[in-house]
Amino acid sequence: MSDTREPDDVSCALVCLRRGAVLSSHGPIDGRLEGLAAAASELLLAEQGSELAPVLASLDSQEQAGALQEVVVISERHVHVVQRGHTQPDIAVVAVAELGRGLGLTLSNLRASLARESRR
Amino acid sequence: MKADFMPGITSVYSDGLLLASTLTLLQHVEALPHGATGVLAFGDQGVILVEKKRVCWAVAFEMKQRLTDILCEQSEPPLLRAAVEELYRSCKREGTSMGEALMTSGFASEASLRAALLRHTCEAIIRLAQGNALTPTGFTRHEKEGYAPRFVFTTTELLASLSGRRRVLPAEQARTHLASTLVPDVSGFAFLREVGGRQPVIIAVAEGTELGVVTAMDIARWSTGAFDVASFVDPTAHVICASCSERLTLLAWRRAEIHYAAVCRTRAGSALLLSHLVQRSATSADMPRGSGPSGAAA
Repeated sequence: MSDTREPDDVSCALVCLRRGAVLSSHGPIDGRLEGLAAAASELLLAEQGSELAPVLASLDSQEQAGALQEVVVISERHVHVVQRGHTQPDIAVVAVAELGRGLGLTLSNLRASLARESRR
Repeated sequence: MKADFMPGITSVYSDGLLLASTLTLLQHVEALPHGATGVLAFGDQGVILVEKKRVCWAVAFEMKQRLTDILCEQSEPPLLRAAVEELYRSCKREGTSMGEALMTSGFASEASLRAALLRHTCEAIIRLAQGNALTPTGFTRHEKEGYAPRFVFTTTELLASLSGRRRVLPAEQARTHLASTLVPDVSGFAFLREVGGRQPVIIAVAEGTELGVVTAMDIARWSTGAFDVASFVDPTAHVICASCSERLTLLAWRRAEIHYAAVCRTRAGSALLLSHLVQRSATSADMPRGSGPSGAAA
């Protein structure tokens, strides 16, 4: 049986990249989550991705990498993740958690929350 | 106390026009066909010897300082010029390698010879850039590859050397940090964001890094842009990890004024480097504000 609840310290949201607006969320929407939602488009280079695309392609010709799929930002006390939507290019999922329990566990929780959020 | 400046060669640091000219020159090396080996000529101003997009040697015909001068100057105790010149004549007569002869005769160690070659090549490239010899007049292919891999330089390495001579202390600090931080399958370099400057200034390159100068500058610009945006979310942001495909990841981090960027070509490499960076930031005093995260283990 799968657990669909988010860990207590994880906030995640579905974001419209064009507007930087939160479409839906789980966990508290605070200034940090809203800020991440607003920055999601620029962090993923959703608008100006073509500038980096040739560089990425030249670095990994086998997989034809051309766009950023996920960006993790680590600050003093928080981990922030932005993931490009797999099916809808204008949509991203974002999540924030405190770094308290270590990076590995925090990232694992965040990615699980992002996966659930994108399925909702 | 060491000076934050190495005399004897012009630096592209704080000189936007010279940096742009140098980049143009180095881009011609990178633009050569894959695997091309030979001489890139710049009319009557000089030549750059190239092997597979790496620079083996460069000469600006107006250069006053020769390799012999550099070797004599950097050796302690100083080498006798007559002895070095005799060795040169002997190598020429017998058709043997001057580099090998310098090392076997004890006139130079591998490290000091490499340093001298790098300095000579940098001096030549800066002279060509200053003289506006920015467009090659021809490329003559060599059939054989003959340069020792340990004595050739990537374009990014040359640019870092040209900038780092003006900022010796951060360049040394960056080289030490890269050497102790990077993991297998990861390439990396360090750069400074000059206040008011539009271009990042690359000051150090990790050993074995094969990134071309155009790629490195593009990645540095991505890194600075990403930090500008991330700082809006949290001013204490100090590591950014961007996944591009199943294997390829770009990593950017900063310690005090020095910015770092890395290209990871395996998942394991990026996970290990990320873990190192977070663990180190927990104990580092030079992160952007505060004392670092409370714990990390990837």
